[in-house]
Amino acid sequence: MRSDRSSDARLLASGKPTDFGVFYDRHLGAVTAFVGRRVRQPEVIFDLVAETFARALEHRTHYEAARGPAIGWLIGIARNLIMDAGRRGQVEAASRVRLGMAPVELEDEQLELIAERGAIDLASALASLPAEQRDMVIRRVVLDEPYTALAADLRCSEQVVRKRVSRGLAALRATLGEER
Amino acid sequence: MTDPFAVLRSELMTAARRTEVTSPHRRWDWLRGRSRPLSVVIAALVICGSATAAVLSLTASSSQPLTGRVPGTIRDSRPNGTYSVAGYRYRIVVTPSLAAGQAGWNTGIQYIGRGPQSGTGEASGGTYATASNPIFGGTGGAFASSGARRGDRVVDVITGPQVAAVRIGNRTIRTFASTELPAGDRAAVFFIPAGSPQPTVGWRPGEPIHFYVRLPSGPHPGSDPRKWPKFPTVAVLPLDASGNVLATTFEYPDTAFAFFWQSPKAITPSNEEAPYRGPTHPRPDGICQLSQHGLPGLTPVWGHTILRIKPVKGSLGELFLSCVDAEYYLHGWPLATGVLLDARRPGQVLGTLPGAQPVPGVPGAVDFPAAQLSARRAGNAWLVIRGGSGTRQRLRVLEALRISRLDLRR
Repeated sequence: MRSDRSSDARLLASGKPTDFGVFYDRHLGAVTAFVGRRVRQPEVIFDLVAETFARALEHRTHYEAARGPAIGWLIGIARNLIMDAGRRGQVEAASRVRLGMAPVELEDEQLELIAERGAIDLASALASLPAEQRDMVIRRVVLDEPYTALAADLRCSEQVVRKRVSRGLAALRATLGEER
Repeated sequence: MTDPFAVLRSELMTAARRTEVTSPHRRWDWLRGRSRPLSVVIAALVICGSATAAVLSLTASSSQPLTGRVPGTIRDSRPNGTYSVAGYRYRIVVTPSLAAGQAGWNTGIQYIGRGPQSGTGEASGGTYATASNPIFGGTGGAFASSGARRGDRVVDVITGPQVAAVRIGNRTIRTFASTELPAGDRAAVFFIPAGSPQPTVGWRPGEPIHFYVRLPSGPHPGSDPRKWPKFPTVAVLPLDASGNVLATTFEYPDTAFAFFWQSPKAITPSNEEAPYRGPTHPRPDGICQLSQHGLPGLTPVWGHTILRIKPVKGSLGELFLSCVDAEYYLHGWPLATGVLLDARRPGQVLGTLPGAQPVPGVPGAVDFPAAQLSARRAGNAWLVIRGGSGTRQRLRVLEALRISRLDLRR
């Protein structure tokens, strides 16, 4: 796994497969933890994570750094897929199909590993953050509150809120990376 | 043991390599290169195209079957960003919805063959046929902008009994009935070449037949949807036996509220989400209930019950209504179950399950391996099981489950 501090926007915009690999490594833990908090079956967790990254790959040029951190974008994709899967009773596979990705057969041990990754405690990871960052990350990323609402509550500018969320997410990534 | 996330990473990298060669920029250039003459043609069709009566001509072509092969030959993945289902066998499967309180049909297509697309497919949750909902299911292939870019792809529509043919562009395809479709309903299956306009269903009077959708794409799509590129779509029009277009005006029906329960034995969320504190057992006053006997390890994990039955009005083909659903686990395999009743007259004699064949030596049991579905008649209800490791496991579970209550007086 390469240590690369390039910005997410640059990794996505470059179009290089290796850069997308770095992007995947960087966010896999957080996305899996997010999905694992909402879904129980490990095979469904895996499918949702796979489709989330496939969709991110397919639409990587749509990401705009100005709209927020990439983890928020990824979690937005995952959230939509979870809701869609709930309605349809199965996980969307359209992006993987379009990208020509082969289905991954999962054995029992692999399912256990997925369940373990999905059980990473986001709360513990968040506990290490300064309170102001933790609150912002939870409200923005987990509860999906708009920046404008957060800024209004805190009586500060939207830019300040964005900065706190961004710093919190960077610290969260580091924590999840260590746990992996 | 191989880390499944490492396998996924490898798959993504391979996919990224393919898309790298055909960059979005080049792909859009390709489309733009054709957009001018295409837009002229489509504009003409919007003006001239109409949904008025047109006698079903003798030139209408036959549908492809529910199980068949896409023309062409299977090719290995090539690093050119394209994929193709050419040469693959396909199978279209229609199964009943098992969700408590709901009636409807789900449609899926799966591609099989010795190639990278094997095992892939699409599925859609459908409704059911009514006079105002002539096309109620099907799979239309991935969206044209990013779907198969080599060879043909398969489009299927599942229709009510009143649909004799469907029209797409200048082609008319006759529908057919099959024992693998809900009794009375029909289907049309056809191939469309790569790059064709995206087929859509649900055409309503007043809507154009040919139109565009705008989708963000390219390296800098911007946030203004009015500046996104346009993609052509075409409505699949259902026709009656006289060639008249059948409009869609269907509205989703009101369904009975389904009460969720989750067993403490279910794998629970493990992090900061509050522990589940809802009902842990099916409501005792549910109109349908399941019980189990003699299969240790069969664990109910969650499901839904309903307190009253709402018969469906106006459906045309065969239709079932689920009065209870539950998910069980056995040796790590999830098995979805449901009890199906006649949707129009719950408690009356039931029709057959599409595609299901009697299981030799197991009276009353049927099986449809392609749909991973087995079922057993229990009075005027079907006890249905979907999923599991295979037919043998499903039959074992069917043997262990009983419908312990079926109270249709409410």
